[in-house]
Amino acid sequence: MTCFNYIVRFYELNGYELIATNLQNGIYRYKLTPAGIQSNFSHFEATASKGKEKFEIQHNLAIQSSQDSTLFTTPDISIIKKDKVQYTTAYYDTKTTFSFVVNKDLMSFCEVKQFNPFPELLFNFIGVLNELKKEYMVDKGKKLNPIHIAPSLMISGKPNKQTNNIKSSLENRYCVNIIYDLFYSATFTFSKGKINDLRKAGKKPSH
Amino acid sequence: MAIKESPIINILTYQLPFVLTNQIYNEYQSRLKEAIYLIDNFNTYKPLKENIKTIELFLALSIFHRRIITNLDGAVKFYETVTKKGETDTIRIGSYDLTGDEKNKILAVVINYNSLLEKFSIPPIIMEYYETRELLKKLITLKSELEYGDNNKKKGNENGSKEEEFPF
Repeated sequence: MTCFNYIVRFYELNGYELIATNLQNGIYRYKLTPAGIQSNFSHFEATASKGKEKFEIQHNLAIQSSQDSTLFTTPDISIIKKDKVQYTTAYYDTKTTFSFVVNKDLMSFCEVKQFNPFPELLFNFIGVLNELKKEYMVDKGKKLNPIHIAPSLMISGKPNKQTNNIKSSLENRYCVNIIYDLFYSATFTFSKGKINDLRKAGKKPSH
Repeated sequence: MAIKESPIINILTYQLPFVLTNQIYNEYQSRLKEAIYLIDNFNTYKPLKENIKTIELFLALSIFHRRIITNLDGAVKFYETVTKKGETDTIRIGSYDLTGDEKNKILAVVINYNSLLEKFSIPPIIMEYYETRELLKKLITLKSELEYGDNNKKKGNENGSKEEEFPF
């Protein structure tokens, strides 16, 4: 919830107008798990100040793989084009409704972990990146206008020397943000003065 | 007959859901074991030898801070964002409704907690550590600062006004 709040803040500080939408009987219904029909839950709508393009900041929504259209995975937070959530009963054998977004409608995503960082956790994120944004693996991400946050891994715990090294290495190789220590330093990371230090979707900065 | 004291971790986790209590308790036990090992075996941490009870308090408090207070604080902030950006005053999380009244109760807990930290001069930075040895180093620094401060007070305050005692 804290991270979702930070992502909303990122968009707000980058000139988007935000509204909490799809309220259910006047209540903001927070989606806790990947299960459930997306239209029964609330989300934030972000409107770019220039061009009036609209996006949705959703939580726990399945996204189609960029490698294989039959595969899906569910990042914790996803930023998608407005009104692009689709529904099917063909995905599960039980005919349960499955909510998803096709890969081309995904702008960016964030994974959130309530752990102390450790190597496998960090490398797993690159696996998700490979699945959802394969172009980022070879630094061929498109620079988006209006801007979006780069795929990000947000971890509550504090890093040690080893996990700091892994963060540096991964950020050197891929256009991603790895954010540690959410409960303390994230207030600073997502502050007005520091927001521009976060990477935006596209290519990694040239050295 | 000696009065049996409840361990601080039991007091802090009293009436919390089992899953959460279990996580907090396991982290506490594991870090306490590590802290005692470090103090017993490394000279760097020897200054804390006489303060095991205090270490237990700080350890329990810092784990409670990270696993409970920060999440409550996050919920309050998210509530404020949602109500500011949407025409609603309630967030439904599973079967729980986070209403304005609930938010105020949570906010009161966070404010009271912060007041307690302030009252006992506990800097929030103490709660920020990754490894147990970092906490121990911070406690050594805090201890020396307090002792140095106390000495200065004794020298400068001849009236001897009664100060709230720090548990070192």
